[in-house]
Formats: sequence, structure tokens, C-alpha cells
Amino acid sequence: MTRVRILLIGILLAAITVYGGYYFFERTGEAEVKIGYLRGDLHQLALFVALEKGMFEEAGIKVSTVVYSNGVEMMDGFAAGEVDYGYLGIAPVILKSVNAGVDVKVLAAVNLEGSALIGRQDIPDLSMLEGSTIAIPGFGTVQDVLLSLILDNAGINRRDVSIVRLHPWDMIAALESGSIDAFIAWEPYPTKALRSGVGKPLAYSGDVWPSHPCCVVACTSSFYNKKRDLIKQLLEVHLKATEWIRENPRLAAEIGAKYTGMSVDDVMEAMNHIKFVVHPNVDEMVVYVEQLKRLGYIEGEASEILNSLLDLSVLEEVESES
Amino acid sequence: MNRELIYRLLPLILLVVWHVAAEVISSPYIPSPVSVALSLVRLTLVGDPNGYSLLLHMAASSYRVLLGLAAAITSGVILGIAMGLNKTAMLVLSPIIEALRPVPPIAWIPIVIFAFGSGLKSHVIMVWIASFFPILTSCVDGVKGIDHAYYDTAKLLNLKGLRLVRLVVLPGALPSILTGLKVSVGVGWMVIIASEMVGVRKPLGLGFLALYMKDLGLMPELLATVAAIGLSAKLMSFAVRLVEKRILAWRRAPSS
Repeated sequence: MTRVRILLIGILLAAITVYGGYYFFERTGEAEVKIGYLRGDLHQLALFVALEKGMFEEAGIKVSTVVYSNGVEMMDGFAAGEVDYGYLGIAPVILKSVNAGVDVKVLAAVNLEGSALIGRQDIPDLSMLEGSTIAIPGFGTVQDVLLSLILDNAGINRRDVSIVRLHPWDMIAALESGSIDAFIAWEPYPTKALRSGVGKPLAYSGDVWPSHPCCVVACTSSFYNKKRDLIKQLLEVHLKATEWIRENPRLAAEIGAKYTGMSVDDVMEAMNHIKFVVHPNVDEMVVYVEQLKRLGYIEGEASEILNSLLDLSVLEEVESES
Repeated sequence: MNRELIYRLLPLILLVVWHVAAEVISSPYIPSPVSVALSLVRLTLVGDPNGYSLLLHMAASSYRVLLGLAAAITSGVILGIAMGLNKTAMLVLSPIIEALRPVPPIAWIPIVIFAFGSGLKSHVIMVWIASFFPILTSCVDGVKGIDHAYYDTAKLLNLKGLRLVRLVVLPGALPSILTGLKVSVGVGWMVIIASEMVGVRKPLGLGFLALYMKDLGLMPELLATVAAIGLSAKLMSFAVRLVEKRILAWRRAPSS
């Protein structure tokens, strides 16, 4: 009997440990929608504003958030069911939907422009980048594609530079220590590097490709098919938050500072290089598809790919009613 | 059916099961063995989108592991002999070693990258950290395990200092050191893949390639890279076993 009792107590303790561990360490709570965003990415300020100003609660939506290092990882999160709806770059959406069959819909734009190539202080201009080491946040990201365009414009063959992958929050230290010669990242990391005297701007993405698409709002197709009404509410929040940024830039910068860990002044300066919008620049998205093909990352017809991804019907409904 | 035949055919059976499962499930995340094999050939002959062949990535990672192992063997054997022969060295160093040994090598990656960047130095240091402790502990055990009769004979022959180490201690501890080296090879490979995933100076290395293929959503290429990692580690272990066979030939009993 004693042995049986010990066994039963052991099983009970094991069950408590397993369930308790899951409850405290893994459970994210009952949310109507799991929203993904990129760590320290000022492009996604509309989401940060919506969270801080209680816009989701006002709309009666219960949300939980999941943070990713880059858009490519968020697409893996979509595939794994970790997240339903997210803010990420258009390039990884195209890349992973084509190569890995991740079934998502692009619903709206989040921003245009807003990245920059920052080099060491002793690099006078782009032409000196040949043979250098340049960091990007990930292969297949918007910044990867932008770097290709910048190098093309400067007449530099991509094979003549070493491209390495680093998190944006590691790039500034890497540039300062000389591990890399340049980096391209989303704001506010370029502005931070400039204002702390670590680097100098070699190219702003908005100068190389004016009004280029960048981050978009996307969701899984299954979420779209089941929760169209909820998506409409989410896009109403997105539109409201984007307008709030335009009307309250300083207050928006304070929220941006909280989510990026940077000073409000750094964030205010960085916001000058970003255009916060909701309606996507669809024609320019073709350039992303063509560049991803040129890089050897994907194959396929641009119009076919974008037609299967884009669904602006809900956004158009929201815009017509606002 | 002959049981031995089944065991020999088991890998082939598993491949067939994998292929059928991939066809039935039909998901980009579960590529078939055929697509993985084709990707292996393509990565070898054509290379990654940067044009670097899989063989170059294997060579880059192997180079980093070898340098780290060389550093680990040198430092591990020197310290191991010192600790094995000298009580003071053992008393002083043992608590430090025991405090550092339980730390998983991968936990050192952020500190090493922060201090040394993401170039060759960091990778070699990481492999050294991972490989040092198995070699050190096996060397200490090997030195302590030498039959005292050898020391007595050495005393009679007036063998001291470096001559003692070269003619008695090192040969006596070698079997143990090589056992530690075999463990170090496996641990070294684990660490180099993680270290390369965190950062590389030049876009070369199997850890980097795995993450690259994952970022691009190319599952067959990713699995091909994983296969290449296993093959590289296996080749290095095989090389160590060959060296062991050659160096320790004197231990084999003469045939009657």
C-alpha cells in the first residue's frame, strides 16, 4: 500500500508541476486575437499607440501580443498558429508565402520608407563599401531587398560585400566595435547610431526609393475566413491609431520611446524618416517581388503572387465608413 | 525473415516511410527525402544564393572547430598534467574548474560575442570553452590512473621534468585524453553551429547556412544543411578514431 501511495503522490506532484509550469511560464491567456509585432520597430508605432491608448479595449477586442525579431520569424509564427494577425515587412510575407506556403492575407499598409544604411564614420560614401561587411536583420527582409537596391544604384555587386545577419539592437554595438562596416535597419536604430556618433548615413531608403512600401498588416487566411468582422474592427483601430500619430507626434514619440527603449528625441528624429499610412502602394510592391526573384530567393509571376496575397476589401470598407 | 536483414534494411525502410509521409501530408515543412537529396546536390554544385558551395560552408565550420579543438587540447593537456601531477595545482585550480564546468557552453555565447564580435576569434573561443573541460578532466583522470610502477621505473632511470612528461605521463594518459577528445568533437560541433547562428563575419558556416535557409523558407535546403552538419561532425569523429588507432597501436595485444 505504501508503494502505491508513494506512486500516486508522485503522479499528483508531477501533474501539478507540469500543469503549474505551463500555467505560469507558457500560458498567454484567453485573447480573441494574438497580434505579432517586431521588437523595437518604430514602423509599427500605430500598434503601440493602439495598445497604450486602450483603443482595442474601447473597440471591445481582447488582444495578446507576441514579439518577433524580424518579419521572417513572424511568418514562421503564422505558420505555427502562434499568431493570427501581425505587423511585418512585405518582403518576408511574399518570401514565405511563396517558398513555405504560409497562407496569409495582406490587409493594409503600416508605413512607407523608414530604413537607412549606416556606415562607419571613416567610410566617405557608398562606393567604399566594396569588400565590406554589412549587417541586415534577416535574409528576405525589407532591409535585405533595400540593401540590394542601394548596392545596385552604387554599382556594387552584392557578391563583393559580406552580408551577415544581426538583430538591429546588436548592430550599433557591432558597428562601434568594428565587427561590421555598415548596417541597414529599421528606424529608430539608424537615428540612434547617428545621434550617438557611432555611424554616418550612407543612404536613406526614402531617398533611394521614394514612398517604398515597408510594413503591412497581415493575418492568416483561416483567421480572415472565420473572423472578418473582427478584422474590420482591428483595421478601424489601425486607422484610428495612424491618424492619432499624425495629430499627436510628440505623444506618439513618447509611446515609441517606451517600445524601442530609446529617448523621445531620438524617436522624434526617427519619425521624420517614416510615413505612417494605411493604404498600400500596390504598384511598388511588384518591385519587391522582382528583387526577391533577382536575389534568387523566389520564383513566380509578380501579379499572381500579389493577387493571392492582397485583400484590401475590408480596408476599403473601413475607409469608406470613416 | 532473417532478423539481421531487417536491421540492415531499417534505414531504407525509414526512408520509405519518410517519403510516403511527405507525399501524404504534402506540406512545405515536411520535404521528401528525394527533395532533400536533390537540394544537397544543388547546394554542393551550385551553392547558396551568395554562390558559396555547401563544401565551402563545411570547410569553414570545420576550420573553426579544428582551431578551437587545437586550443582546447593544448590548454587542457598542459593544465591536466599539471593538476594530475601537482597537488597544489589541483587544490588551487579544482574549485575554479568545478565552478565553471557546469555552465552550459552555449550560455557563454552572448558574452563572447559582446566582447570579441562575431568573427573567427569568437567562434574559436566558443569551441575552446566547450571542448576544454572534457579534455581537461579526462587528462587529469588519465594522469592519476598511470600505474605507479611506471613512476618508480622512471625514478630509477632518473627521468624528471619534461622527459618524465614526454616518456611516461603523456603516453600513459593518452588513451584517456583521446576519449576526452572524442567527446569534445561532438560538443565543439554543437557549439560552433549555435555560434554561427548568432553571427558570422563572412557569410560562411553551416550554422549560418541553416539559419539562412530557414529565413528563406527553403526546407529541403535546410534539412540538407542539417545532414551536412551531421556528416562533418561524423567525419571529424572518424578522423579522431583513426588517429587513436594509429597512436595507440602499441596498446594492442600481440597475436599469438
